[in-house]
Amino acid sequence: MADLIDLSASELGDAIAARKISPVEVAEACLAQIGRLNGRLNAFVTLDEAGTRAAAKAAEAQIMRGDYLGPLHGIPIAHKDLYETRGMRTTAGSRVLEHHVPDTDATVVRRLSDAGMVLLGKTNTHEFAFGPTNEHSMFGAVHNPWDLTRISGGSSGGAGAAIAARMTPLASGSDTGGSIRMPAACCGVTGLKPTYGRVSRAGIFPLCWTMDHAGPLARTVRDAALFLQATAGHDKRDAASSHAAVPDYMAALTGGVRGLRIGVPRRYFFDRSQDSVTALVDAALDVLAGLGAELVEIDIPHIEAAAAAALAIYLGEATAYHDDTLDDRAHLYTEQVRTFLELGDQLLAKDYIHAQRYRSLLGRELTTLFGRVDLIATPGIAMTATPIGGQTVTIRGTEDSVFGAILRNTEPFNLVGLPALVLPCGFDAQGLPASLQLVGPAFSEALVLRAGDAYQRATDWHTRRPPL
Amino acid sequence: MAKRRPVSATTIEAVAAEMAGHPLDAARAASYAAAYEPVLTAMDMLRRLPLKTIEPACVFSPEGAPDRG
Repeated sequence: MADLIDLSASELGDAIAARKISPVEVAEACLAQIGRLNGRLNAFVTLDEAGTRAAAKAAEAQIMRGDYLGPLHGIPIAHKDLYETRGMRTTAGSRVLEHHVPDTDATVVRRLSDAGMVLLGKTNTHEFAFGPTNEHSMFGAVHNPWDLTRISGGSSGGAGAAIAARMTPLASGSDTGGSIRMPAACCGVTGLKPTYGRVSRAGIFPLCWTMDHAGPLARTVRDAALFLQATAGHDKRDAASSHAAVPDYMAALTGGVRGLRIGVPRRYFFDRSQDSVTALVDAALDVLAGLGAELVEIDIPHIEAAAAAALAIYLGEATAYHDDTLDDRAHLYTEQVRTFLELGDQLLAKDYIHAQRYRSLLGRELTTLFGRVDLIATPGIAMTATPIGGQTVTIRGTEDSVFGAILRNTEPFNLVGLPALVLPCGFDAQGLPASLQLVGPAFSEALVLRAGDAYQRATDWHTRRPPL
Repeated sequence: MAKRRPVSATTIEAVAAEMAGHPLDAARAASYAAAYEPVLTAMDMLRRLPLKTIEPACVFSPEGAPDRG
């Protein structure tokens, strides 16, 4: 059998179900890998090795006596340090919450625990998820496993690095402007932002109530589907939680994309991305076309205003959430996050409302387009991972801020709440991963996952391991 | 659409202290004025969009309504 840490969650699940391996062996392999690499990556911020071993032993005993809970039973999981974990410190990467130990679990944490998953610990996050690079956290920056001098992407950067470095097979993340998909793209792993309301946000510290999404970072699309299957569904603790029925996501992974119409918006998404990235994404689209998908050139009207609308919502909602803390503890925030929050004090209400109206406009434009195509494909992010500390990036001769460029392709789909999947599609000349993003209509996760899984069956980019 | 003047450190400082209730020192206000001007330029873009007949995406729903979480 291959090295346990190289197996995906679904492969581990099959082997555990067949009693070929024990959850205890899997947990020990992950803990050993964390011990070997965390000093260089800074991906995990809290571990409970005794608790992990106890949970793995309990899972093993349960399975051996025939009480098998399903495909996630005995599989390790790491939660973003934005998710509340009962009895385990939850800081949101901030000195504001440095000593916070919750007495309840986030709904996602509880559902995955109920599915038999074994908690490894908490992963680093950009402070309060308010940034896309994971450089600004009370624990320091996360380092990219493919090049330790570069960003992991954020804000679920610890999760992205941990998955890529084989520290855990599955991790939770949250995504307000791309915070699952950006680290997935930078670290060469798979990330899914489900439809708004599909997965409960209860017990996850908010960044922006109207744009926050919970979801997985994983080695494979199949693993992301396993996570979604266990966590999707209505939750009365979340005011935005949907009552929509939860389909069988695993059954949807048929490997087929024949006849699917995939819209390709060149303007904005491709023509403002690095050449090396668009070349790899075009090659990925050729793979999907070779599997029988039809590529359709499309244009998304008004897309260029997405960043402005997202900015108004970040500044408005995040500052409202942190209003009381800014009164007397502003000095506890990292300088970048404090600056964003205090800038939010200056935002006019009418601009926040314009942004909410823009979301309706963009949603209508996309609904119209989804009458012509089944999915939309873009580069996951416009570039490969940039150096830690870098403020700007030059793309096709134009200098842009790192924050602006990295968010450009992901945040439009937070504004409209549509499901979006990022998966690795190759490496640039520096050995850094590039990614493909697939977006579908609301609650079309089964379709998005089917297309992503078909791509991963035809390629092996998702199996590459960083040279650590 | 009404034209605005570039935002100044004085305005930033006054809004922070007099309206938001989070006073800033002069140096921070000056740096925020520089950072906020591009934000306002982005807001100008929103203000120019064809939104006249479009309602905000977030609409009120009474507590207890059947379609509410």
